[in-house]
Amino acid sequence: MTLRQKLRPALAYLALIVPSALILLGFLWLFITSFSTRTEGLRSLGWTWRNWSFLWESPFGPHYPSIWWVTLNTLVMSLIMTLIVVAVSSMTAYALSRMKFAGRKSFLSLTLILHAFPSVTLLIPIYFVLLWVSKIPVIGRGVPLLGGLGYNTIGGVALVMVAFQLPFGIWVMKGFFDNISWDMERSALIDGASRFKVWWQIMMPNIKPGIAALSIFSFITAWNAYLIPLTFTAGRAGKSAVLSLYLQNFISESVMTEWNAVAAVGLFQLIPVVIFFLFTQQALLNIYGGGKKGGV
Amino acid sequence: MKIAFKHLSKYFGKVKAVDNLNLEVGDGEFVALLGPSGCGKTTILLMIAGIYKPTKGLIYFDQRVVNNVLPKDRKIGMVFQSYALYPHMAVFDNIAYPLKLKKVHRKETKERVQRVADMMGIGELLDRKPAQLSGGQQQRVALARALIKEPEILLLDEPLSNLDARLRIMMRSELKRLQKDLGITTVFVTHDQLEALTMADRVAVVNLGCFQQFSTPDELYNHPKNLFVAGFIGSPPINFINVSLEKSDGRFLLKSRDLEIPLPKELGSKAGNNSTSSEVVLGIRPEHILINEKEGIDTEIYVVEPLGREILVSAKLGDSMIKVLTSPPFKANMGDRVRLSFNLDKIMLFDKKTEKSLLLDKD
Ligand SMILES: Nc1ncnc2c1ncn2[C@@H]1O[C@H](COP(=O)(O)OP(=O)(O)OP(=O)(O)O)[C@@H](O)[C@H]1O
Ligand SMILES: [Mg+2]
Repeated sequence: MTLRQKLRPALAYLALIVPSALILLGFLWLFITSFSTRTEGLRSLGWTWRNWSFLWESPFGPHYPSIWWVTLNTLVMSLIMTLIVVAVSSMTAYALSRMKFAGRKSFLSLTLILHAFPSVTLLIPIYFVLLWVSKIPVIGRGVPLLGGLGYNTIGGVALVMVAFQLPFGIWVMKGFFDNISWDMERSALIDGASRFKVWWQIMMPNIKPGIAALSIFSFITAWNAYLIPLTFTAGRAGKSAVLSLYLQNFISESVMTEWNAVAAVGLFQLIPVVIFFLFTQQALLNIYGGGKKGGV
Repeated sequence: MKIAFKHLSKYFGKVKAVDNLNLEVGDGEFVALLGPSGCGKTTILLMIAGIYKPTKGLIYFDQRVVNNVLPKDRKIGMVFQSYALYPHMAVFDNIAYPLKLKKVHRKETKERVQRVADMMGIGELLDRKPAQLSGGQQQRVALARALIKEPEILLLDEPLSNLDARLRIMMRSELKRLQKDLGITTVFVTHDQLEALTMADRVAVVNLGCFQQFSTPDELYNHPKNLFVAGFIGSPPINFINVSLEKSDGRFLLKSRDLEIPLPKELGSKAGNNSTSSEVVLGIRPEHILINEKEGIDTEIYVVEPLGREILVSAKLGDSMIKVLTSPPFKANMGDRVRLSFNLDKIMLFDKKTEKSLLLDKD
């Protein structure tokens, strides 16, 4: 091996290690801080469990929702969003991949544009839309569990997040559908299946990797979402709606922010994502790797 | 069930995949669609199956127009070129799928799957996934799946093309036998002329979306309607020689720079009546040429290829090469001069412009 050939992988590793190390350093700080009374750089000035006390008692008084309740809330919202995104995008993508209809091409380019659209610019118009939805009787505010689909409801937040996630989901799923041979589908049609059955019994089982990847991706996006829940919720209920917002309670103008507690809650929010990611990164890579390999 | 097309066309945008076809397939008949790649064979099958809607024209099953009947209501079994097995299902579930959709009872399903699987010789493989099967086994599974619902029409899209040569010959006879036993009207697509000629009752030669000829294998081989069919059917292929058709002393002659063949009276006048100009293509199959030393057209041997049962001799005639099939022993070597004489009962004549045969009676 020449020096040059050796240098190449070395450089590649260097390019990967340096940024990773910087990120890891951040996490290390987070970890140390969450178990310390105070820190000086990465050095702890005294170890303690107190920062994690939010797990068994609310730091904002007994009348405030417990962290577990907020976690459940986040989980429910993420799951619902994932379910809707996967269901809607796989059906849409099937139609876009397999059927001919007027406006198909424009629809496709529209989803691509929406995917690339900077969502921040849409926040204010969406705010007005949600306010308007709130005024509609029943679905606005009266739905049990979700609260409704309007402003300052879990349903409303989920709706907006689903809308932002769908273009990406549709494109990913369309890619997977495109990879499945037409013959299989035609064969099923001749065997006597309806379109719906073809989709459900033949196509869906064959794009399982795609479904898995999109689910994970949507779930993590929803779990970590901050901007959209922040914008479309208000007041105390809003601040205890999902985990990322819960953190906000620690930051106020009148009291000194307890950074150590913030670090602990932040870490707590991170744990499920990391575990999830460790087990599913292979499937996640699939989204970008372009569909499944092998099979018949 | 009888199948008929009336002026059937299918366009994909500007591409005329199928153009104005007329065809009748009799009840229980085995018909092969033979043609080069991209000539529209699969498109025809998919129209019969109801997957594609014809752009123009009608499809009849018996007396009924089925243009708007959904695939699932057509009672069709189809084997795709790729087999199109469902990779996520075991062989049993693959074969049982049409029955499952019809909500056939579990016990009956089990019996029928076992029966058809045994018939296809895959009774032992029912637990496997398609990916764990060989090409030949996959093909049988696909066939079993097509047959299990007892279809009235069987469509086969190049089902043998993925098999190795030995298996292909075996499956050829098995398929033919099976079709006759079951008596299902069958349309079989292939680009392999041997498959078409050996298996089918009648062969439709397709090119550029049009039928060139639809007749029995024997007719196709001995009385092709046009240049395309004559050139497409037969291996080694037929020899074509450009000649001019001339008349002298009341007799017709075929003439070129290198040869001169007087035609028998009947043949000559038929050709003379049908031709639009004197430019004619002479077609003669390699096995209908005799090599000898004494009489005939003088040529030089270019190459000799022993094929085992026969010997293929290429001889140079002017600028063109004439292929001759002869039986062993054959003594002459490359470069030797030999004489060729054509069996005049077997020669074919085609109009150079219209490419139509000059020897067929006008319809
Ligand atoms: N869905 C389609 N859209 C556009 N063009 C098509 C479509 N299907 C087929 N064609 C075109 O129609 C013509 C006939 O195609 P078809 O698949 O019927 O050919 P084939 O005879 O089955 O060929 P092969 O032997 O290679 O399978 C080809 O030129 C093909 O490109
Ligand atoms: Mg084809």
